Amino acid sequence: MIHIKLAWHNLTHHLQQYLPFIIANSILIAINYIFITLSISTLSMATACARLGLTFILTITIIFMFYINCFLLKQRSQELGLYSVLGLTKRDLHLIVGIENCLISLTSIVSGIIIGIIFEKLAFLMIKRLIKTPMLATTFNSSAIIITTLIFIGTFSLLFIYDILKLQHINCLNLWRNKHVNEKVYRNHWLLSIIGIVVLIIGYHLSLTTKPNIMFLPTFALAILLVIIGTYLTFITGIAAFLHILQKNKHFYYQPHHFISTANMLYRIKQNGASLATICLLCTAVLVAMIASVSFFKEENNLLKQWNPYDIMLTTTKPLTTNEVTKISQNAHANQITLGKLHTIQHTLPTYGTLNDNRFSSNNINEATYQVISLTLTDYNRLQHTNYHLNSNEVLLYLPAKLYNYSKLVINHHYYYVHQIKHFNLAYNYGHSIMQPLFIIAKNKQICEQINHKPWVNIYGFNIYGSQKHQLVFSNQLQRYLQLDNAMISSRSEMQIIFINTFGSLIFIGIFITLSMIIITALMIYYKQLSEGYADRLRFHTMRQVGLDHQETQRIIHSQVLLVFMLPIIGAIINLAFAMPAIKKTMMLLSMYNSDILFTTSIITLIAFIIGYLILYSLTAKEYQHIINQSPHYRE
Amino acid sequence: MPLLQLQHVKRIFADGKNNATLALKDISFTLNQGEFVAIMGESGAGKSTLLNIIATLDQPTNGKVILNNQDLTNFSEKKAAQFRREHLGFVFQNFNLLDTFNNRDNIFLPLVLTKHTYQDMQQRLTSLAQELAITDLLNRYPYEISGGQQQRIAIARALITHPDLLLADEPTGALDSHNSEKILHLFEKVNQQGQTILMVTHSPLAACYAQHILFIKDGIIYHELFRGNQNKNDYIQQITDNITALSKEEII
Repeated sequence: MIHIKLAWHNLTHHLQQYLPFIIANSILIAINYIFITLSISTLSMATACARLGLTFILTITIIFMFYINCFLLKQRSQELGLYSVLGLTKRDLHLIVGIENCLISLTSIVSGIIIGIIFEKLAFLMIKRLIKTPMLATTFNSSAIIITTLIFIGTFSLLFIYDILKLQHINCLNLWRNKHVNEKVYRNHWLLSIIGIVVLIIGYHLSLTTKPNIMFLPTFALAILLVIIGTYLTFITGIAAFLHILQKNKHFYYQPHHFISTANMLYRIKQNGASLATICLLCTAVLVAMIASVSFFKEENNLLKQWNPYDIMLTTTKPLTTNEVTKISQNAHANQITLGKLHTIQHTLPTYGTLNDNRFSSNNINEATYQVISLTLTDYNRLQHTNYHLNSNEVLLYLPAKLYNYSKLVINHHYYYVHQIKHFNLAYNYGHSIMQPLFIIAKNKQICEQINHKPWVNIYGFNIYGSQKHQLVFSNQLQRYLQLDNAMISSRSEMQIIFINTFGSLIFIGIFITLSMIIITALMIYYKQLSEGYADRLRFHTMRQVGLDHQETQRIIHSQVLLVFMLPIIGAIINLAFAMPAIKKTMMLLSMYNSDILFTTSIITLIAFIIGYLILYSLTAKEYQHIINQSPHYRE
Repeated sequence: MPLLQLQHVKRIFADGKNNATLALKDISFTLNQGEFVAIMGESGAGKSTLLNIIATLDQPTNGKVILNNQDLTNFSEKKAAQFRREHLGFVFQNFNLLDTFNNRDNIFLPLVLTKHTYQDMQQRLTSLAQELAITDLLNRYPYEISGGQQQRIAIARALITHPDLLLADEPTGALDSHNSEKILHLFEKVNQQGQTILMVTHSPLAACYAQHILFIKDGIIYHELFRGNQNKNDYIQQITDNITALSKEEII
């Protein structure tokens, strides 16, 4: 009974420290709950993204909780030391800490899940309105609640075990003194900073070098994990090293506001570094999510064109007979469909492989990033109404939205002189694969086969005009009549429906991730400023007694807050720069090859983000100043 | 030559409604260059208010405070801060050293604020550190040294600006008797070198180092005491008698 009483006393009397922790926990748990809901829902493509997001947010949550917990344990160690001096045994202390832990975790988990459910419903309603997708609706999902609860009970148990281990190693006198021991100036850890930088570089390297193939997503997830760890270590140790260097520079350091802000920053660098790293990672996540979703949104039409240059695309092994063509037009007529002109070519089935400089080598499908398809010049000239001539060692090359920088291409032990062409009306992504198509137009069939040994197929493309309902019926009848499997026929109206579903949900997830990340980021920054304001208040008061005037105080606060704000955003921009190739590759997996859209989107997003960030900055700077100015005795 | 003059200083704390507290009723006194004066009084007598007003941290409701022929009562906030940096030195009961700085930088703080060069600061510190026997402590942090050592660092911080007036608020309040004595000897020494000191204290043992003692009660100077030529024990006796008299009246 006494234990519960003491634990309760501990919590209620240090509410100033515990409340922000509980609130931050609840929000993080809420976000995790939402991601878990999305990960186990059946939104197909979006689920993969949600899982990636979940890895990220769960890692951050756990790191964040551990760091705050360490900090709080040190804060209350004096109190625990007092109990121990008064005759409570280690077992009693464990019990007290355990009860505290239970209370905190219970409150956090319950409120977190409630916030999560409410937020999820609101966000769904809002975004549904925004992008008008018909199928989005989540149902109340009890397994998400169970999973969330289990994960966080696990996390809190780990925290508890950590607390017990910490208490085990400390005798009661040390406990008593620990609060003061905590307030030490941070000394450099060179080994950690080197490890941090190395991990970061490996992460960046992975992001830069992974190929857009089937193994891409797992590798990218690993890269994210490494960058998270690297960012934390680099922020904590790197900033400390940087501040130490500043401090060594006497000319710089002994200037009024450099002097005070450098020392203040260094003093709490361990806490500072961790929270700055968290803010930095959250900013990165917001930027990546924003850029990816806006790009998806903009690329949707392009992608449709990639998959369906004409309304109906047919692939057949034997050419259509005249009888069949007549039957198609009869069928169209019956369905109130008007047919456009029929375009046709023959090409070889694709070979999968990779392109290294000017050498194409075939590969197994797990590593492939390109699919090579060859066709004859006759077909091309007929289709495009052009008049190209080729020798047997020359080819035309069509590579959507990419420049081929070499004059030759080596493929299947032969080399060809290459002329890249810009137009190819029947260019499409064969089989809707994740590989980028590479069309090679050669002089004749023999050379085509020399380039690509695969069998030939016939491609037909034509537009159809009529209501969407009729188009759907028509394409279905066509498929049945010609006995084509799903991969052999692609109808734009059908694709459009699939697109609205998959991309709608993908964009939805993107916007959703962005929103949640923005909220967490803003909260993190706000709490950071608030808690630091309280910690710095007494120090500023002493400095005023020594003769620091009001104006100078404002200036110091501004430069300090600015530094706190600029570091994460700079870090986030660097992380983003290294994430860009990965985003680009993700889009390539989805047959989106237009990097201009990605680039402009990034710039606009970045500017919007920085503006929002600056608004947040001025708000928190004001709050910080307000706290500092409520000095205890200053001009009563 | 008068360094500090207080003329009919009055301070009322009003909380905006009708609850006004009279902290200082009418205080006038003069402090000469090179004097060591102690202010004594019970808790709540107005000692701290008085010190805050002299320190330009607070302003009187009425009356004048003149230091070095400058009226401190009409200072702007900025001017007051500058004045504190350049003319006043502070020593507090709780030392008020900043854990963010090592001891050297704590001492440098007021000089950095007045934008002295590093060489100048270092030069001033070298001789002062020897005098206060803190040379070995300079590279350590306040939380790594004892209370007595911390107070010596705080005194160094107060003296490094060569202030006109050293203000001490219960400087021995948090120290044991041995360390208290050391600090007070230090005060005596710098006073003999010409430093003017104004010290607020509870302790007769501390007050007896001052040549002149003001007893404050209910916001006025109730009594004054001069050491003159009497020996230390008689002086302490007189101080304790006065304190007893002060509290006796309360009982009656």
